Amino acid sequence: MGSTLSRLKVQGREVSLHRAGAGAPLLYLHGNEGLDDYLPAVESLAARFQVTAPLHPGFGEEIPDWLDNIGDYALFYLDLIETLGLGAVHVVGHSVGAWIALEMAVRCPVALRTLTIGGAAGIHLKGVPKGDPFFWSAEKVIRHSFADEAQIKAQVAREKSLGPEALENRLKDQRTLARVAWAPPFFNPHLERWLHRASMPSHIVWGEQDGMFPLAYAHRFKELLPQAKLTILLGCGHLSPLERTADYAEAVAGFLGEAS
Amino acid sequence: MTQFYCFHLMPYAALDLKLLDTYGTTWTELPNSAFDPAEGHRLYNRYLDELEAAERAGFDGVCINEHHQTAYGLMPSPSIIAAALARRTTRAKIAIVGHAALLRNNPLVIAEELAMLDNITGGRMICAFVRGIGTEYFNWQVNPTYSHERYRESHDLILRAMTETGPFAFEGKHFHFPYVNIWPKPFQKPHPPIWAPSTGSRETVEWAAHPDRRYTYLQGYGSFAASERFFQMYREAAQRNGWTVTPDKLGWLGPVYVGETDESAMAEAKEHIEIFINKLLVKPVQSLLPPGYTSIDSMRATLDRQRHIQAGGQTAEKLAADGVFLVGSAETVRRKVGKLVEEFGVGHVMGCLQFGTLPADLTMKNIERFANEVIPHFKG
Repeated sequence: MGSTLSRLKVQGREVSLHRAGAGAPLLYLHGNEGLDDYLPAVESLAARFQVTAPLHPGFGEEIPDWLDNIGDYALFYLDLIETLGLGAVHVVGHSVGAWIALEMAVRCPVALRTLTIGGAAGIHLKGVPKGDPFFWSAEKVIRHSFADEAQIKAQVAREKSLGPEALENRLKDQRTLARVAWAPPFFNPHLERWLHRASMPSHIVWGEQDGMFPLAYAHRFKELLPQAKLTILLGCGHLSPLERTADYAEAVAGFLGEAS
Repeated sequence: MTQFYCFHLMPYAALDLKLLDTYGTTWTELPNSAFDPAEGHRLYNRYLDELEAAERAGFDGVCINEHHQTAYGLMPSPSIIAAALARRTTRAKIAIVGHAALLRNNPLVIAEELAMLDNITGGRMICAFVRGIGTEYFNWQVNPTYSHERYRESHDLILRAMTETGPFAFEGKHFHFPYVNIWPKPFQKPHPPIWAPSTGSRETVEWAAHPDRRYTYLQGYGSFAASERFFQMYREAAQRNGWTVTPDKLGWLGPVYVGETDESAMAEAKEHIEIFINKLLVKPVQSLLPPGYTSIDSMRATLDRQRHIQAGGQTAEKLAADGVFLVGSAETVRRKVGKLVEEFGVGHVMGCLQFGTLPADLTMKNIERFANEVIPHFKG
């Protein structure tokens, strides 16, 4: 699946955007896998919101020279919101995208109307190991990202049939992901102490059987975020936007409807 | 005149190889409960004896290197092995090929250790800096997307620390030190020779051949064809930079075994070289090539080149035919070394004379045969 992306310059830095729908502005920040896999969920949300879904700079391309850590993404997207003149936006992120959303929320709470995080990276719970998408084989990552056996089979088959161009993109995505998430692995040790600043209405959406960021992380976020609601998708894995697109989109949009 | 070195990886040769049926690799995931300190004590001392014997037998130098969290090689700190050799050898060069300095949060420690070793040995040190194997980025949690940046920066820091009058400020992106002023400074002026080891990479070739560096390019574990290609690439890069490669700028490193006859050499070495290549060296692709460790193009090339290596199942005969493994009677090995020296123009030959599970008696015979029957042939 592909989408038509527009290219935008933000303070001299380039980004590709998928924009769709009408309504209250919503910034969608995709997870580790690149934007395409998240487009079905994005399209569902576009039925009710004016969605801006960037492809994180460095995905499918060289690592930008301004990108060293997750904070660079957070400040870049705060710039993006200003450049687009969106005002306060709903920010929805998954996995590494949720981590970026959290970093934005503590830096500039007024820029976020609401915060929605799913299968989020960003903090670390001692003794609760996360998945390792760099060290694990692609198949092992898939097994820990989906709960449904048929989905796992389909994803493994898809992985094995990737063409050279898709493989090259995968290598580029992984490289940029590693730039921000290699060490400390998928967390910022300074984030947790500032999460009280994320005081906007927030929503934690988690697959009950998340094998990359186990459910204990969802409960910890619930303790740390001042105004958080927790929705657990029963029988769902880490990649809820892919595995259970309709349920995920309904949970996300439902909360935004209540919060608006 | 061609220089000959005895290279040692110091593998954990006492490994119960059946464990590899479960773990598949000796890197990172093989539990260290498989390490027996009594064997460790025995092996370290045996291996040091072998390197000391190489000096007595007539080698010009001994070589060691650095690896982490693996049974493949027991030298997480090559400086310690160099220190153990420093006072038990008197003539041989001690080449560390090399230090994975960029893995350190403070690479200055490498400059300090090298300077100490160079003073203790009265200038017998040769140094080299490597990027480390992919798995080591998992072991040490160094971000592989900064591998090249950190390599160049740590090299610059160490070189300047060894050569410039301190205190001076080193202002890098990854390493920033307001006061660099190492004591001692190296014995050799301006600094110990620096080599650039590689298993074959255009990036390394170009970097080493830069006119400011002119570092000896050391091709490791390559076939004759690959070695020839990279030596030629180096020559062309040097020419482009306005200088001409001499034999002291090219080195070859690989396993070597000299037997009584071609047949007995193969019979004695076969099992051990195959364990080395097919068991000890093998690691999963994603740990061999973490993201950003090389450019996408290099990554694809390495994947193609390594796929068959990492799949295991290589035979000693094929390795010998390709020139990865120099094996045979003294006459045969002389001929193969002659190809390196005379055809490829190599000035430094580093034989890995113990490999895999090759036992002490065969290793010692190998060292003596190579020293007595191969080296003199090239010493005119």
